[in-house]
Amino acid sequence: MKQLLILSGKGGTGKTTIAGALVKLSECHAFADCDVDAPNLHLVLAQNSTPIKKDYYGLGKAVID
Amino acid sequence: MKLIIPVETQSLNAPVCPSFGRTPLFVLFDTESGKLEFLTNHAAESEGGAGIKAAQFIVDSGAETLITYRCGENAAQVLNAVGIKMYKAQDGSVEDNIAKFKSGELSPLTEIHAGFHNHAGIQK
Amino acid sequence: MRVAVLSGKGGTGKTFVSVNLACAAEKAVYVDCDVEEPNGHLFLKPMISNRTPVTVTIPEVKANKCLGCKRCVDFCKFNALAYVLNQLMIFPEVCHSCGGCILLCPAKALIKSERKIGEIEEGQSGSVSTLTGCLNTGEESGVPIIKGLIQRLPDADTTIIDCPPGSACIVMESIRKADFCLLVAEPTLFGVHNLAMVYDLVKLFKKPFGVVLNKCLSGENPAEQFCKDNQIHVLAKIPFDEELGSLNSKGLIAVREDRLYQVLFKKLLEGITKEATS
Repeated sequence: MKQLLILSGKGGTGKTTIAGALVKLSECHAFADCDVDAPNLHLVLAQNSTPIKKDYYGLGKAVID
Repeated sequence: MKLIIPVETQSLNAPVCPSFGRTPLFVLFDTESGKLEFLTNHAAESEGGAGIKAAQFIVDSGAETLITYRCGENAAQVLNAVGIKMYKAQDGSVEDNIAKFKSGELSPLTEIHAGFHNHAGIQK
Repeated sequence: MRVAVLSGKGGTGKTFVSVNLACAAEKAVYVDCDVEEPNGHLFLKPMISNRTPVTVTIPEVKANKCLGCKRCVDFCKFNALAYVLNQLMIFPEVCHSCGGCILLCPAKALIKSERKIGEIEEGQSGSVSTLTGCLNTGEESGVPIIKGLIQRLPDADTTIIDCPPGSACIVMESIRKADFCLLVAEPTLFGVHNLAMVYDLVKLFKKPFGVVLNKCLSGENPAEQFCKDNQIHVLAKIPFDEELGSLNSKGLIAVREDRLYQVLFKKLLEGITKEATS
């Protein structure tokens, strides 16, 4: 599987816009929005089914007994 | 001589796991005795540094040779410190790769990729 | 008065607003907390007077004291340590500086050492004093640099804090000591989606806040609608202006080039001061 990464350094240059266009045109099998802080790709690419949500776990937290 | 190979399921027919640090299992194979052991890779649960932990595990297992598709620079540092040899896995089963290793058809792994800097996440 | 300028979305105009606010004041401090990619200096072109390295603590092993018990290796949640061939290997870039291994070592074989992750530059640009945080490429977190910047905030003076994009740790650190948060919004769906995130953040931190609508065009403005729906005070509306885009792309500061913007930003500053002190 070839993976294409779209990045820019500077915010607001058009990564999501270009990514959305390439996803559509390439008819790729999978894409990932790695801007976990402020994901926007899903706003551009309409989904035709309800998304499956899974919890993501960070490191364990210490608890005092 | 002890060979160690990342694998997803407990079967010699399974393919070599494409991941090294986060493979669910390793298979430890003794080429002299033919003894086989499947070991759980606890490094897979790590938030980060999985390669380092997996490499430490491999060192502790007594393996002398690793057959894998890929290896990161941090893990490679650990393995190289002990002199564990790395060979590049080929498509096919674990059993095929062991046979190819014995007949000298596998090449040493020369491409070491940069570390993932803790962002590979946890597999659950 | 400390004003943090944030937006969630990248490219909405945080640096543009921050730099111009700082220049509109009679005397101000401009703090660039976008440590991964600071841009304020491209406009302010400050004379640098001082550079201070920022470091994080990592362990260093005294090999002759090490017992090889591997307690540190087993303890480290980040797997920054390995023990092979009777030698402890430390991976500084993987280490998260928790200091746990140093505390835990039964032989006290681990001591604190420092690793540089970036630096803070102090400078001057006309009436604006500048504090710029710079994180080295590839480093994991800019939080220590932002902590260093926030420590250096003056008590008096108008201080404008140019925040990083997003709404995670580095943004939280940047707004921690702010008296007022100015949210910069662009009139797009993406912009509103991310504006909602920082809106939640400032409410969580109980910071007084207001919005400046940037790049305003005629027609629907989803950001303006968001502010109406949530009763958020809009302190200024900056129209989309090609002339401004041209100034910006040449690294020129609007307030220093165009009287129109001088008036706009002075007015905005007054509005913020009024809200922050009420």
